Amino acid sequence: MISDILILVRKDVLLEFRKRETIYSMGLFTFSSILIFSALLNFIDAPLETKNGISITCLLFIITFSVMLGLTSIFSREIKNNSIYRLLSLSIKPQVIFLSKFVYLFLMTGFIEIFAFILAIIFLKIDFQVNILVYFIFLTIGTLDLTIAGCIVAFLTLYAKSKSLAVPILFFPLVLPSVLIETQVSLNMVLMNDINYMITNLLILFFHGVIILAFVLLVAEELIQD
Amino acid sequence: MNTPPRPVVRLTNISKTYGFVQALKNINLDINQGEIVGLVGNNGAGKSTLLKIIALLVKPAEGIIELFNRQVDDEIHSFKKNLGILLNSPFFYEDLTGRENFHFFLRMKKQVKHPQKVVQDIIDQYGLKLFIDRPYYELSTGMMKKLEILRTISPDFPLLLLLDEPFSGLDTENKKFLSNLITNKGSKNTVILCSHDFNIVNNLCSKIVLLERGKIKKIFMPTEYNHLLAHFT
Repeated sequence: MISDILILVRKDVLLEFRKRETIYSMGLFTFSSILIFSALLNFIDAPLETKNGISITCLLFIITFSVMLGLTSIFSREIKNNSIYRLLSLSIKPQVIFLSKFVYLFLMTGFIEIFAFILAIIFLKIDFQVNILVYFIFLTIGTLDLTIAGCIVAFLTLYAKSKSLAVPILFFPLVLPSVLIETQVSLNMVLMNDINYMITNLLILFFHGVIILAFVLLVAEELIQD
Repeated sequence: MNTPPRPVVRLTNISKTYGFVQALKNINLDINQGEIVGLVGNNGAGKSTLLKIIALLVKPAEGIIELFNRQVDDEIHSFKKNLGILLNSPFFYEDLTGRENFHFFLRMKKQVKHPQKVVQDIIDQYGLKLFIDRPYYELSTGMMKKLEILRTISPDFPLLLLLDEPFSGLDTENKKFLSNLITNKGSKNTVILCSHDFNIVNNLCSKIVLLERGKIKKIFMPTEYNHLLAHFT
């Protein structure tokens, strides 16, 4: 199963780096958004803590939209010209297809997040008050949760005729709890209020991801059928 | 005493609807091991849908499918390793080269240990050297089709080969190549193909199934070619 997932992910990465459409659009969106927010923050006369809070919220907003750009494309090449049958013809479980797309989206999002945080430190001047390990755990769990939600939406809208309408309608309610919790955790990181509160929220975030992942793995067979 | 051959494909009361359209209605069909079966009929008769149902790509609304003497249950992926499928829609990724596509599909078929070697053998055997490393979208329709055909029979001829309009887009030489490939298959391999070309179907197939509005109208033997033609004139 793991080798199948890796072969599928490798193929997706190869296809992406052949054209680089999605990664460029995600990167460009992230870069321009950070520049716009940094320019706006320069006009705000507020304490550093407030500015930090606004910056981190803006960053999460940018990453959420960036994931949405990525998820609209993860299945598009599979259903172009009715070619979904090539995946269905393979002797693999639908869950493997879902997990491979999830790993691929996670890699893409992780790559964009690193890029976004480097830009944020330079342009938004975010100053984290926690050590790098806590920050890394938060980033990994947050990204996992966001990409699971994104992948579920991509899977649910596989055969949708108007993807541009269906994706945001499904994506935002699904990620809203995660984004709210992530914002709270991020603010805690910046303001260093309460470590216990942060851990509780991280656990909620983790279980949110696990529950929706378990749900979609159970119904994957039905979802992928034409 | 000879025991009658057991069917490789057995369809019992298969029906399929797309929205309000009844694509297939109460299809009952047995296909035995080693047979070459042609599905013919006008556009919209249900040929491709029937082929996709046998290929386990589309679920029937009703009915039972048996493949290789086993009823198809929820574990449909386990049946797929014995199938070779060629549809009208491309299976190869257009931004990958022919070689990369071959590698991908061979790796997904777990029985291949060294896909590089298998691909090299295919290139040498079928003279693909000139275009195997070009992106798939740059190839001509005929070349694309040839690669797709070779994909279905790599690394070995499958137990059940399903071909949807395999001769469309092929020149005379490649039509001959495909015809030879089908006729020279092993005695354990079964082929089901859809085609509008009655001459080819008649020359290749041991059984011809005529579909009309989602139903099997008649099953012909090749000797009954004139009767088959009469249905379309």
